[in-house]
Amino acid sequence: MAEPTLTLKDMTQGAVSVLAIAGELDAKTAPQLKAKLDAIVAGGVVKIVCDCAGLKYISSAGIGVLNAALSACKAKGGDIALAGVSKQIKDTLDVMYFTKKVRLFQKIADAVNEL
Amino acid sequence: MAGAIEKRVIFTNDLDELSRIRDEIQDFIGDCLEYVERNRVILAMDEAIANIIKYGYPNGGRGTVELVMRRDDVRLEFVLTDDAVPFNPLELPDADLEHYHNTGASGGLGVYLYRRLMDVSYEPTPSGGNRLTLSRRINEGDS
Repeated sequence: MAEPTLTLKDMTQGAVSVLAIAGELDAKTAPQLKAKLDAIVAGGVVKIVCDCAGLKYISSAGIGVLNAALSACKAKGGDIALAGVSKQIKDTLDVMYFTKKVRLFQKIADAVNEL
Repeated sequence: MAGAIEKRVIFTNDLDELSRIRDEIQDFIGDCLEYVERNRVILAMDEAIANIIKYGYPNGGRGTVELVMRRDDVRLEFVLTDDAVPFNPLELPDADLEHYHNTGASGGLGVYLYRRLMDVSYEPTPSGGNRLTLSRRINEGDS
């Protein structure tokens, strides 16, 4: 069996959920992220920090899921921030102008405190 | 591209193929681009290929796509030939990014991305499919 290309692990810290995203986020795996984010929001948590330290690749499909979830969270008074984004991933976010919309932090703790 | 290095990859219209194809493209580019620029090429190709797989074969149709990769000292070229429904991405209007972000849209920027990152040409094939070429110059100092 092939190695999974995306792994997701979430942990709630108070009113904030920290979601560790590792692997590759593309047109194949983006629906997994959507399902996870939808479940977190359905559980009443609308402040989410995505820990991207283990994220190796992101395409427009992955950014699309984050963009939709960000709008959904903001509509409910929440927010989504990204932490630990690599230079390569940040470049893709820049190309999509997503860095103009989402906040980036180096450390998870800083993102949690700011949300 | 006389004297170019060339590699041919065949894949089916299955999203499970995306990760393998990205690896093939990364190996082919090698060190001729630094890693952020290399990622941009991989991203552009991934977007083009994902679009073919997702939208090129409606109603559960099966198909195969050929990717021919070429590089010489000055240029990288990727030619995608498919037997999918006809689609010329150069006929799409430019994407409205402000609208995309303001409405929380979740898709529709793949063509925008590869048109922004690469030189793109398109021609229909005689059999009714599509031939999409993405290329870019290898600039001095890229590697």
